[in-house]
Parts: sequence; C-alpha cells; structure tokens
Amino acid sequence: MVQSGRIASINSSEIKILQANYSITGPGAVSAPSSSKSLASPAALTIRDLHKHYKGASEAILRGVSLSVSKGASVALLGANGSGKSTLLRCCLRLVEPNNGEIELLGQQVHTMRRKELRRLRRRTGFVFQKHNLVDRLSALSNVIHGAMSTGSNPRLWTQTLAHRNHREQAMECLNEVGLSSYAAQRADRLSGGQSQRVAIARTLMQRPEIVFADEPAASLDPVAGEEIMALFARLIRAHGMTLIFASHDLTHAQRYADYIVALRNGQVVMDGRSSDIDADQLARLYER
Amino acid sequence: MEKEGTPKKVTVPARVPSAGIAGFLAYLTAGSLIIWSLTGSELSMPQLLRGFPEMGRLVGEMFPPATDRMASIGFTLFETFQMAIAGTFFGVILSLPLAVLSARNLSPHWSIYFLTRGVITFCRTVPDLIWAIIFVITVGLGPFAGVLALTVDTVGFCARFFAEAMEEADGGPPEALAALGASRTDIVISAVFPATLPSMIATSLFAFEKSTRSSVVLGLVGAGGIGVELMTALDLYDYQNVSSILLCIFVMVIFVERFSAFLRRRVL
Repeated sequence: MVQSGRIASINSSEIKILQANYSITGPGAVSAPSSSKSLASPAALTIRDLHKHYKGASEAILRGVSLSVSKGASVALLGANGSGKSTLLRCCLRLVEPNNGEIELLGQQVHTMRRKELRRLRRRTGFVFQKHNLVDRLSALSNVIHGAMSTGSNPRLWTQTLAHRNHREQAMECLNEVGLSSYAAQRADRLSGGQSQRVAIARTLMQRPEIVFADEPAASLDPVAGEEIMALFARLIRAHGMTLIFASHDLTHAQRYADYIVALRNGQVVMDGRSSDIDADQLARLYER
Repeated sequence: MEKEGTPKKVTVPARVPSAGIAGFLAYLTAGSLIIWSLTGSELSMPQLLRGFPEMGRLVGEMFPPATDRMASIGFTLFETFQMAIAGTFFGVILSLPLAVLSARNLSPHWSIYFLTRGVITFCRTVPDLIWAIIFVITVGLGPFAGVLALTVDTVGFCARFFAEAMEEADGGPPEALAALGASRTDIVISAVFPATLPSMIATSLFAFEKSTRSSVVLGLVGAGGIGVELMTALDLYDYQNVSSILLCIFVMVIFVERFSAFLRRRVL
C-alpha cells in the first residue's frame, strides 16, 4: 500500500518534517491518513488535521496532527513533556474537546457526535490513565466491576455489594488475569502503584473494548513495576485482539511493546514508522531541547 | 537550563512580600469596616460594669438547680434529641441531589447551577427561628414544625459543603468512568460520592451538632423540644428550673459534640 502524506524523517543532526511519499504494508499499519478510504486493513482510528489550543495557553498543544491506525495495531506515541501526547489521546474520546479537525474512531465520526452517541462509542473503547484513576475508597473488585458500565447504566454496577453474580465472577476473572484475585476485597487506596495499575487494566478488560488508549501507563511506577505492567498490558491486549495506542516516555517500552511508533514534537507528528525501523538514537533526539 | 560558566545573579526575596496598592486598599477597607462596626454597636464599658451586680443576682437565683421537674425535662430533652436526628437525616438526604446540581463540575446546566445555589443560599440565609415560626404557622405547634425547620436549616448548611467537597474531589476517577461511557448518575454515585464520603459524613455530624443546639431554641416559638420547657420556666421567673434545663442542655450538647468528634476521627 502506498500513501501520500506529510511524514517525518530524521537526519543526523535534527528532526525534520518532510513532505514525502512512503509505504507501509501489512496489517496494523500506522500511516498519514489518505484522502481515499480504501485502506488495506480497516482503520480503527483516523485523525485528520487535529488542532487543540487550551484557553490561556500561549501556543497550541496540537497543530494539525494527522494519523491513521489500523485495527489490531499496537502504537506508541512518543514525545517530550508538552508535545501533545496526552491531549491527543484525550481528544480521541473527546475527554478534551479539540478545536478543529476530524476524528474517525471505529468507523464513527467522533468530532460531530452528540453526547449520547459519544457515550455509546466510549463503551467500545478503553482508557488506562497514568494515575490509575481508581475510586480510592472502593475495593479492587468494585473498581473492576465499574468496567461493566460499558454495557449500559445499571445501579447494580455501582459497587460489588450490589453487583449481579455474573458481573462479580467476570470481574474476578479479570483480576485473576492481572494476578490480583487475592486482592479483590482490598481497598484501592491500600494497593501499591503497580497493583493499582493492574486493577485499572482489569477494569479495562472487564469493559471488553475494541481499542485501548493508555496515557503513560507505567510512568508513575518504578522501572521494575513499569516493565512488568507494560509486559502484562501488551500480552493481554494481544490475547484479546485489541488495538492499543499508548503514550510513553520510555523508548525501550515503545520499541519492545509497540509495532509502530508515532513521535510528536510541539504538537506535530515529526516521525512515524515501524518500531523495528527506528533506532534509539533517533528517538532520543526527540527529547533534545 | 543554564549554561555552565554563566554568572548567576541571585536575588533574595523580601521577608514580607509587597502587597501592592490593591493589597494596601484591601487592608485599609478591612480595618475601616471593623472600626465602623465597633462604633455602630454602641459599645459601653460603664454599662457592662453596671450590669455585673444584676448578673450576679440572677446567677444567685439560679442556684441550686431545681430537681422537681426532672422527669418532664428528661422527656422533652429526648424529644429535642429526636428532632435533631430526624431534621438532620431529612436535611442530609435532601442535600445530596441539591449538592450534585449545584456543584460546578457536575451540574448539568448553568441555569440549574444558579437556581440550586440560590435555593441553598436562601435556606441558609433565613434563620432557623424564622423557619420554625413559618412551620408552626403551617403545620401547627409541636416537634413536627421543629423537624421541618431543622431540615431546611440542614439543607442550607450541608448542600453547600457537599457541593464544595464534590467540586474539590479528584477528577481522575470520574474521568475514567466517563471514558468508558458511564452515565452521569453512574459517575456521581460510583466515583464522586465515595470520594467525598468522609467529608460529607464530617459535615453531616457538624450539622447534627448544629441541629441539636438549634432544636433547643426552636421550642421558644412552640416548635417542640426542651425549648418549650425553658420558655415556660423563664415566663414564670423560675430561675432554678432554668438552670436545671440549661445544665441538661449543656450535658446533651457536650455528649453530641464528643460523640460526633469520635465518629469524625474514625471516618477521616
């Protein structure tokens, strides 16, 4: 498949944005989105010319980002602090409202959706946050059961005490998958950082999403716990056949756990390609000031 | 990042940061307001000194406290306690939805936000004694009027603090549930309520203490409780019974405050 688009390449001294043709073949490709809709593998996510400028900020955080991610791909978003990674992920689900641009997620136009439609679409997607975002005072099991809210609003999902037997059993299976079944009754605020992130992943598994966004899932953990979480995360995503887009600062994680890498700098895509084709020196240059 | 070799100029900050013209005007306004209030309050030291012997005489008449009406005082004291619990209970229940609607981050629309904020402020602005008079006129004499007055008073107090707790709660868990497509109700009940529960319990216990003290006064206008006994004793210049009633109220309020403080320590 050959596509035309705005891509980035790296020379020895600096990152340059180039206008060029490039080709990526096979399933799970990341590419600049084509104007034509005839993609070899159906796109899970297509973003065109996305802009975001936070109120009061001197500069835009996203400046015309375009990319396309095929179903089943695992993509790492890299870039320095403030490059727009988290904003880009949040814009995909309109947790942050973009100012301009188009987002097509799982075949639906996110940017034009009404609230109710957006909620329905979000139910098909998972989001893992850097700070876990568990409900502290509830048990690990209750937090995982919350993942089933993707099946619709139900008062029996508010806490494990009210939950239906099926939901409790499914949640226990998810906790078991992340190796925390013995911590089901433990309050979330009494878990370690690594355990909390495992519970957050179990919540996402409970949701059974088609695509998972993860905003630096290992950033708040020590290197060993971070490595364990990323390995577990990547394994589960593959096992369940989901598409994964994760933001990270860790170049090793990006190369080890992503099929493709998209690099952002100053709100623009400056580099993308197969993770095996991009070397660590090229990536390290993203963080040069 | 500074380059090596660049001379670094260090400035020591002032011990007291300059307040600027706006700060100076704020201090000046606050000072003027206090002086203006003191002059308008007709403070008089001679008048206070002249009143001391009268106060001594009144205290003398109060002792020893009477014990002949202890059964009746005990009964109305329990009634007061029941009124405080019932009023706080209904007030807290009504405060929850009002707080959600009046929390800036949860309110579905700005018009609802302003409307509910207005209702809460109104509940708080009107004194509990006036609410008691209104409900005595509406539903008649007795503890029911007192419970209604305490309910409205508790709404004015709790709904405001509940709403503020909800506004200050960590936005992470609600964002996580929003990201997976949860409804607004699911988010509020599953993520916001658990996060704000300690604060809401503490506020409710403060409201209960406040209701206990208020319920004493409500009886003065016929809204039930020990205030009725107190009013009767005062009308009859029966100061020994007045002192008994005040001591009983003191014991009840101390008990409620200590118990509430114990529970708050356990919860927080």
